Amino acid sequence: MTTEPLMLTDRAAELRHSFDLAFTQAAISRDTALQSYLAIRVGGDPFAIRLSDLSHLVADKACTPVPVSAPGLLGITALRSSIVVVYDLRVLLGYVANGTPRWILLTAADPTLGLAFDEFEGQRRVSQDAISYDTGSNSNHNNVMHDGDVMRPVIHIDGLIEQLRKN
Amino acid sequence: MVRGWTFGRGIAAGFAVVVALTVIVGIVSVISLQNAVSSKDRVIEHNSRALIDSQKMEALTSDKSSSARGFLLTADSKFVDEIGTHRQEFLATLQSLRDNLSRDEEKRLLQEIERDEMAHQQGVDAAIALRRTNASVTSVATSFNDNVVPLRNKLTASTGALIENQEQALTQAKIEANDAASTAAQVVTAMVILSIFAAGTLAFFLTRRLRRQIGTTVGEVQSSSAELQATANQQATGAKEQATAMNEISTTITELLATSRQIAESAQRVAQVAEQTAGAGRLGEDTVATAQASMVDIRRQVDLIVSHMLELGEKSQRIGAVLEIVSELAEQTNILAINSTIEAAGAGESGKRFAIVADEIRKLADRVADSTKEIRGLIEVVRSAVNTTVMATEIGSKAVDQGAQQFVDVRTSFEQIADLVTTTTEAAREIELSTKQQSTAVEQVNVAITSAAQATRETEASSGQTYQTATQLTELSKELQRLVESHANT
Repeated sequence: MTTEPLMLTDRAAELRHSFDLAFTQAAISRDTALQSYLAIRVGGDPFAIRLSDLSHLVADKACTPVPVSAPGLLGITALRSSIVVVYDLRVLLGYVANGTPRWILLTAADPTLGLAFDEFEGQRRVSQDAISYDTGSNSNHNNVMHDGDVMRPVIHIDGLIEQLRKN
Repeated sequence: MVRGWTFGRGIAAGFAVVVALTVIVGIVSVISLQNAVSSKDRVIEHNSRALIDSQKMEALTSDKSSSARGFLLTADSKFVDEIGTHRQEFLATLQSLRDNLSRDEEKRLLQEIERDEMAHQQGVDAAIALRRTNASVTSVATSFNDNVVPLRNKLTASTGALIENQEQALTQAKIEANDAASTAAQVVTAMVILSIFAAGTLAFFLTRRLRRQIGTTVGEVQSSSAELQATANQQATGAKEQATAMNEISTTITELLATSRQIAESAQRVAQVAEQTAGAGRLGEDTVATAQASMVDIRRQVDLIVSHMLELGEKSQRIGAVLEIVSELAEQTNILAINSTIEAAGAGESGKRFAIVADEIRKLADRVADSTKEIRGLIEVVRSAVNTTVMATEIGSKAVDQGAQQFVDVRTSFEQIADLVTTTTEAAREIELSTKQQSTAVEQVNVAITSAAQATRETEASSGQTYQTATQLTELSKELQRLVESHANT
């Protein structure tokens, strides 16, 4: 415990230094070889979603239930002056819905479609080498992102949209 | 009525009859003896006296004659006095005879004597007178011989006749007295024989009646003796059994006494131990009180620690709240960065710089998130430690409370123990006292049992003696019955 305060002090200095360094360095181009992913958890399992498949991410948005029976349909909500139909990503991925999911993402393919999930772990920018193709996984997430020691199946948003439309 | 008479009454009646007969015999004997004595007395008093008086008169006649002769010879006047004296005495004797003699013949003889005496006196007086006349002695003597002497002789003859008569009367009286005595003897003898016969008859009937009664009574006595013998035997047997039981009781009492003494000793030891325990309890109370005070101090310190820890926990929560705000900001920043990246990607080339900024924001948000995660972790550690410490402190406080309560309970228990020990001590003392009293009572019971056993043994001995006495009585009654029956058979 005596070493913790020292590390925090170093961390504050490091943050300050990194922030200041970002302003002192020249504008550099973004490494377009890196891809951005959203690191989430659904039903406690790690998943990843390509940032390009999303149009918006929001948290703590209440959904109004609708008298329509559909698998995974949570209800509707208003986002960015639009009515968005929200589905439970846990149900769509085959998990048991336990509690109200906090996060809602809007798909890029259909901005009126929202997918709710449990937990948001952050954004990841990984290289293509970190993505592998898993032939044994679900069709909705047949790619896998290597996030350090965590293997995150990449959710195929378009496939989910197609599935929803068919239903 | 006679059949209902008792032995005493029958014997008394028999004796009464015998006494009555004896009295009758005695009365008859007395009467007969009195008659005989009277006869004898009469012979002695009357007849003999009369004879003596008669002989006295004869002697007086002679004396008077002698005195007359003496005067005639001497002319002494004293002879005249003597003559007078002799005559007075003669007349007195004559009167006495006249008073005592009652038969006609005797009265006739006395009258004759009286006449003769008077005549003789006249003659003597004449002779005296003659002498006084100074007549000659010869004439006086001749006159005396011619006149006085014949008168004297006649008087002497009549006196002699009287004497003879009295002698005959005396002889007759003797004969009559003897006859009376013989008659009395015969009567007494007859009465005695009669009494003996009556007594014998009475004795026979009384004996027979007594024998019958005695036989009946002896039979009852025999049966009673047999029953008494059986009872005495049972009593002896019972006394023996009672003596045996008394011995067992005495043994049991002795064991009980020993047990009571052991209990008294144990009670005394218990009382001593209780007193020691009470002393230890009091020491324990003091120790508990000291420990309780220490527990109170500990409790106070623990409460202080808890309050400080709770304060630390609150501050940790504030830090956590601040951290939540920072985390929220980081999250919103991250969301903003993501949305910015998305918008930048949608903006194409014109959004590349914004994408760079968004990326920096993302990095900053990630770093902040990482730091926030670390801090949250630390806060969680601190809060966990605080909670753990608080819980531990609470547990410790509860333990202290429990310990204090236990100390209170222990103190209460000590007090209860002290009270119980006191009660136990008192009870032990009471038990000791009661046991001592019980021992005393048991000892008294033992003494009483011993006395009862002694009395039982005496009763057994008495029963044995009673049995022997009953046996002897049975034998005696048998012997008596045998005697009564043998007498009846004879």
